Amino acid sequence: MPRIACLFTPLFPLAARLRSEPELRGEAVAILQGNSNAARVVAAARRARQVGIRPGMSLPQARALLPNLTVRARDMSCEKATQESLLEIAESFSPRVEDAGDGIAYLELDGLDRHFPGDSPEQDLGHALTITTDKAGLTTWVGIASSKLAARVAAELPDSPNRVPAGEEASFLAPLPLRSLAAEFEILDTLERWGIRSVGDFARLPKNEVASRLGETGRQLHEKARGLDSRPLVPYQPPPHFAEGMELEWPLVNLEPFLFVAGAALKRLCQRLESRGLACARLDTSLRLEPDGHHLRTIQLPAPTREAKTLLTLIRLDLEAESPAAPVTGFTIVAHPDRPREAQLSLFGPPALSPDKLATTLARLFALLGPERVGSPRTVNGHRPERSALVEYAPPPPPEVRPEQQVGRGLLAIRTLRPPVPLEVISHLASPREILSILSESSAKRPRIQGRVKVASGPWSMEEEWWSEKPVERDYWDVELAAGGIFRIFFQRATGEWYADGIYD
Amino acid sequence: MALSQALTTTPQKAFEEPEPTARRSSATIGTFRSKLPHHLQSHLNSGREWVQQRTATPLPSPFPTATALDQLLVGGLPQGQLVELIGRQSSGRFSTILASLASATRAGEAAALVDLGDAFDPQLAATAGVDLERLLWARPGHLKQTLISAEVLLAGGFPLVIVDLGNPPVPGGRGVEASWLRLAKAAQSHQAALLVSSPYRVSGTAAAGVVKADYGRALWSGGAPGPSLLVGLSSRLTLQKMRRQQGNRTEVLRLQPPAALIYGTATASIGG
Repeated sequence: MPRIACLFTPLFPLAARLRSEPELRGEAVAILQGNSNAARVVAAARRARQVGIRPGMSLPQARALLPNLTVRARDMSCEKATQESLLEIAESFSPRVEDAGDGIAYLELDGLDRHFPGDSPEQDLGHALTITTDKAGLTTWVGIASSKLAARVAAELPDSPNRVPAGEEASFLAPLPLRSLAAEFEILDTLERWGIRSVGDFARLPKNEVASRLGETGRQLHEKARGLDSRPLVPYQPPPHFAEGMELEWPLVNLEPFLFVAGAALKRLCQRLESRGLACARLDTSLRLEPDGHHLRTIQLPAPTREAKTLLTLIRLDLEAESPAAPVTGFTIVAHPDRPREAQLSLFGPPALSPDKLATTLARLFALLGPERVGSPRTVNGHRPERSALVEYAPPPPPEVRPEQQVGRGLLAIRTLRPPVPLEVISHLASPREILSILSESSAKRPRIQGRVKVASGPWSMEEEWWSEKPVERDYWDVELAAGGIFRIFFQRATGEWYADGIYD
Repeated sequence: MALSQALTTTPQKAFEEPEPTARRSSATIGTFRSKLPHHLQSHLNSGREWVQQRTATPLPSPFPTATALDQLLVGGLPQGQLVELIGRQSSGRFSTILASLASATRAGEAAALVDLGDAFDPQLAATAGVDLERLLWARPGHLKQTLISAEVLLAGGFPLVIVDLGNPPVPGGRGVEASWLRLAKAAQSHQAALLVSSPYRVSGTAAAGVVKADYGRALWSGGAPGPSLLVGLSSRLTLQKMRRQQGNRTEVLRLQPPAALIYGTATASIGG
C-alpha cells in the first residue's frame, strides 16, 4: 500500500481569510455565511471561541458574547486561491496529488523518503510540509498513513505531524464513531440499526456478508473501515493560470485603498509564481462593481516578470487611464504564467542584464511611455530617414570574451527631425539662399531654422515607392547657415514644399 | 628587531603628545617604521597614508567613446558618474552619442538611449557601428518622463545610459535640480555610466563632469563656382569641470560623414 499524507487546514474559511488579511491574526474574528439576520458563524478564531462563539451562531448571538467581535463574510474567491496555494505546495513535494477541497489535499509519498534520509523520514517530511505551508501564510496539520481516511483522521489530531505506522490503520480507526467513515451515506443508518456504533465494530463484520447485504458502496466503506484504500489518488489538474482575489468589506471609491489590498494579493500571486519557477506574462484584473457590474482590464507585459511592485504600478497606471464607473466591491487578479527569461553568466565577457530586472524595467517603461515608444530600434526598407521600426528588446547574450576596443572613425551623425520641419526657402538658380521655419501652433515646439545660407550642396535626388500611387520624390540639400548650423533640407517635388529633416550634429 | 623591542625603544614622548601637524605625524610613523623588521615595515601606515592609498585606488574602467571625449575624460565615460555634454546645434553632440553607443554595443554591453528629441535614426546608427540588438531606445515626450525613464534604466542594470535632450526648445525646460541629483545618485549606486547631452547646463551640481562642445565648423570640398560637398565637421571640446581632474582642457573633435552621405543620401546620385 502506498503511503499517503493528508494536508488539513483547520477552520478553512477563517484560514483563507487570514491569509488575505494577515493583520487580523491574533484578533477575535468570526467568519459568517449568509445574509443579514440569516448569517451564521462558520468559523471563529481562538479568541472568539474562548468566549463561547461557536459555528452555527447568528451574528446577534455572537455579538452578545463579544461586542467588539471582528466579522468577515465568507469569501469564496479567497478560499479558492487558498486551496490552489495548498495544492501547489503539495505538488512541490510529490507529483501525485489529490484535491479533496475545503483545505484538504492528499499526496502520495512513494520515493520521497530518499529526500529525508534521517531516522524518521515520514516525520521529517511532515515537518517540512508544515514549515512550507506556514511560509505561505497557512496553518496546516499533517497526517501520514496508508489510507486516505487514516491520514485524514491523523491530520485532525493535535501535535501535528501524526503518522500511523503501516498496517496499523485498522486498529487506529477502530475507536472512531461510525460517522467518521462518511456522514452522508444511508448505509450508516442501517448499520446503526444493526447496533454497530464504531468503525472497529464495522471492520470486524465478514467482508463477503457486508458486500452481499450492502452492495458495492457497503464493500467500499468496509474496506475503509479496515484501513484499506484500493482507489488511487485522483490526479489534480492545476489551472492554466494563477488567481488571487477577495470580496471587499465595503465598496471602494478611491484608487489608493484598492491598490493597498491589490498589492497584498499581487505579493501572494508572485510568491506562488516563484514557487513554481514561473513569471507573469499577462495580467487580467477583474473588478466587481456596485451594485452589479464588472470592469475587466488586461495588461500584456513586455517580458515575464514576478515583481509585485512593478505589477502594482502597471495596475495603477492602467486604472488611472481607465477608471471603473462604479465603486469596487471585489476583485480577482489573474496571472497568466510563462517561463522567465534566463541568462548565462560569463566569466570574461561583459556582464549580461539580469532577466528579471530587465523584465521589470521594460514593464515600467511600457507603463510610463507606452509600448510604441520603447524597444530595440530596427532599420526599415526605404531611404526616408524619419522612418524607423521598434521591436521587442531582447539583447543577445554578451560575448564570452570582451572584444578589443576599436578606434572610432569619428562619424558625423545627423539628428533626425521627426516629422520634418516645414520651411520657406528663397532660392536663386534653384539653389537655396535663405530659409525660414514656417510658424504654426504645432511648430512652436520645434527647432527654429532660419537665416541666410552660407554654403549649399545639392541637390541629391531621392525617389522611393515610384510604383505606388503616392511616390516620394525629394531633392536633398546640405546647407550651412551664416548664423551657424548645418541642416539637411529637401524639396518635395509632388507638392513643391520645402522641409528640413535633419541637423548635422 | 622584534616589534615589542621597537616599541619600547620608541621615545615615550611620541605616545604622550598629540600629533600637532601632519609633518610631525609622518616623522613619528617614519621613526616607528625604521625600527621595525624589514618585512613588517610596509604594514605600518598612518591614517593619512591609508586615506591617500584608498583615494589613489583606480576607479572602475571607464566606457570609451572612441572620440576626443576619451582624451578629456581620461579613458571615457566614468562609471558611476553623470557627465554632461553641452553644445548648440551642429556641435558634434549627437555624433559623440552615436560613437559612445557604437563603442559600448560593439563590446557586447547593453546600452540605453533616452531620446527626448526623437532624433535617432537606426539606419545611420547601424552605419556608425551601433549593434541595434543591444540598444534600448526610449522616446519620452517631455523632460519629466525622460528623467524617470533614465532612472528606471539605471535601476534595471544598464551599464551605459545616454540621455539626449535634443535641441531647444526642450519640452520641460531644465527640470528640477533634485531630479538630476537623484539621477546621479542612481548612476553611482548602480555603477553605470550616465551621459546627458543637452543644449545648455541642466544638471547643476549633480554632474561630475561637464564638457562643452563649441559650434562646429563645417568642412566643404569644392566651392564656387562649382558644386560643394560636405566632407566633415570640426568642433572643439572643452572640459569645464571634472571631479579629481584638471578642468579647462580642450580637444578637437573631427567628424566625417559616412560614405553613403558623401555619395548622396543612401542611394541618391550626385547632382547640382
